Amino acid sequence: MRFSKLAVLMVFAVSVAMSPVFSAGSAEGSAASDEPIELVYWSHYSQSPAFVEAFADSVELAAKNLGYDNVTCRAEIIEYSGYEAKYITGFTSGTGPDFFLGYPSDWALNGGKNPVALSFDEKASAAWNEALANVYYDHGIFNGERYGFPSEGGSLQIIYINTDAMIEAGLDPETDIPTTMDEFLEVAKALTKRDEAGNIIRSGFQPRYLGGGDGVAGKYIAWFHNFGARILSEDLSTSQGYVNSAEAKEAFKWFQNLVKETSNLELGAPESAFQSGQAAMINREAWFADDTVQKAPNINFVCASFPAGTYDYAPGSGSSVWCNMISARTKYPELCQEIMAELAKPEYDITLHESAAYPPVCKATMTLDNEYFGKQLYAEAVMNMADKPSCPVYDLIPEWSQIASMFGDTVASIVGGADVDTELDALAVRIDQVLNQ
Amino acid sequence: MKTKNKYSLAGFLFVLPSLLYFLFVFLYPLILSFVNSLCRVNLLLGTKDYLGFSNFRNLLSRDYFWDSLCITLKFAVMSVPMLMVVDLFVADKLASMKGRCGKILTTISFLPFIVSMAAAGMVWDWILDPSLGLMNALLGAVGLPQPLWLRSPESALYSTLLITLWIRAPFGIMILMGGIQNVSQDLYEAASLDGATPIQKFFRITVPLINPQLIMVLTLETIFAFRAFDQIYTSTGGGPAGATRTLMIYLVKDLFNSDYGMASALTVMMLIVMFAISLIEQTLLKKKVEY
Repeated sequence: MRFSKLAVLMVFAVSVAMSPVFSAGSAEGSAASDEPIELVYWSHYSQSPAFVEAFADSVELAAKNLGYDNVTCRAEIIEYSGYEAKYITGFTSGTGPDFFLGYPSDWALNGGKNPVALSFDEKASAAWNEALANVYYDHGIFNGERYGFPSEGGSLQIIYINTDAMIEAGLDPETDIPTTMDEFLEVAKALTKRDEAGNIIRSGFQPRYLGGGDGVAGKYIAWFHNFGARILSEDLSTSQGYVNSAEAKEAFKWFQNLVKETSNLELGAPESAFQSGQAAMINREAWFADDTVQKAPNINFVCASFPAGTYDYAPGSGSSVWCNMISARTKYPELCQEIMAELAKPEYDITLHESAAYPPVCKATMTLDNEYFGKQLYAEAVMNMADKPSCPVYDLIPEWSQIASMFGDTVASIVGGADVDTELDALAVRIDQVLNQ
Repeated sequence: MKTKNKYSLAGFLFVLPSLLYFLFVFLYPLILSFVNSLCRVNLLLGTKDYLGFSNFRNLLSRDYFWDSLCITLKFAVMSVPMLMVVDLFVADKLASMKGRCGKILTTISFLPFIVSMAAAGMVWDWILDPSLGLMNALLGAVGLPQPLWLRSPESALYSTLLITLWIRAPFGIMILMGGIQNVSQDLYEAASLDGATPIQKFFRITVPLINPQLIMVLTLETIFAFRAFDQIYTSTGGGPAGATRTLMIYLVKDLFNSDYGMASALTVMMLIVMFAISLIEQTLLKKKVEY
């Protein structure tokens, strides 16, 4: 018996010794004292550490301007691969940040999949509602409440066109920019370069079809929406009759034909094909402009607005835009709210985005005469699309990431030549299997 | 304290770290997976709603799950025999080499095992790039056809097999080589005196006598094939068009972030299936081992 008592005592001793490891959090803090306060920001933008640091710098600047000289902010990059799981682990163990980047539908305290984001207070909500450009107004709002603001204005798909290829094809980069789907197909055909055997050696247009389905979906959805198609019904309850509607089939058949006529899939990812001069046109977000300038200075290009089809939406990806939010588990909720309200001022819109050359999100800064925004290669293209109606957004349901994967896999199949009608009918069944559970 | 009790206590204390490690690192997550598979789980809220076997039923009703299962089975059925044959052949050749050359080749053949699977996946993605990669440049130089490798739904899974072979083969080679080197040379000499050919010696002496090692490699490679993730994820991400979406890719990419309970259900199913396959392999083949 003595033995078992000893064993219990030992387990107890080990538990006590280990308790600091598992304990988390502490009493609510106040920013008013002079004690140093370190706020923490988490972002999964690992492709641009400078952009992540810019948020922390802006928070420090905002705090200083609000009179809090004792506040610093530390940015931590969470690798994108599996970032949601890493966030959950951090939040659950109590080591989560004060600010973080994510989708409000995933994290909103009121109805989010993993409820941990604090809704903005009245002042911060009003400030951002007033500041945001029309195309970004809805982003950050979930269940009628604002939980964050879009981290950058580069979520719209932009058409990148190699101007040397245009000139080579007898097109004028000033006047021959395609604005409709028909024009796009014609320009893509003209930019397609073949060898003597008829093989395409430069794609007129290079689609994204490699990698996971969700990534493929994000680059294709803008084409799909501009044919008037939807993936899910308005209430997001079914895909039957939507993802396999006549409009959807028309969109896919058009895209399949575009790829067949103008693409060489062997050239791989559209980004590397464009930056190596092997593709004349691709669609990608605004960040790709600066990326191309840095990586491929020999490539001359223009950024153009996404072409209009029977519909002319602002070409989003079907998901909300990544938003900066406040963790409900922060020790300094009031301070965080004050800082978020302060960040809605136009001057921060520049400090937040300049380091990575990303587009700003406020209407006051999204003007061509703005010193920062106006000089960006994508400025005119983004400006032209900013006032278009927002495209359908589906990520308000937790099943969206699975549905996006399925949709993207279907895009890749169809790009590879699969039968459109068969694939879309099968996709509708598969999506509804997930939605109905 | 009696001497017997003292020894018991000392023994317990020596075992305690391993016991705690086993309880927290192995047993606790295992039990948690079983419990979570029967619930709707929200990690942040710390809530678990008991659902019975709904997660399993829902999973089995999805075409997407069955597609992933088929891809995984195809991967396992192709990769395991391929690895066994290559492992056995190379191990036999390396074991028969004497001197410095043999040691150098043995070291070289083990090197890929040191490389992380994620890094290997990325490196092979470049090597197999259809237009810029080394492989097609070599094939083109000798006038052979240049496949699309990882870029085509038809060839992507086979290409991941190539990567898997490169990464995994050294492990089996080392195990089997150890077994082969322990086979008494007397047996080979006696067989030579009886006029046995090298092939006869290989199949009648070597293979039967390294059967314990063969079963071990077979079991471990089968388990690995079902769990294959890193090299596939980094080279194809499960694409193109879902052609390499194995169960592990489906689990991590699609289920884990959106439905933790269903992800746990899939984990439990995989555990049961792998346990059953291992048991069958061990039971059936062990009977034939005895020589």
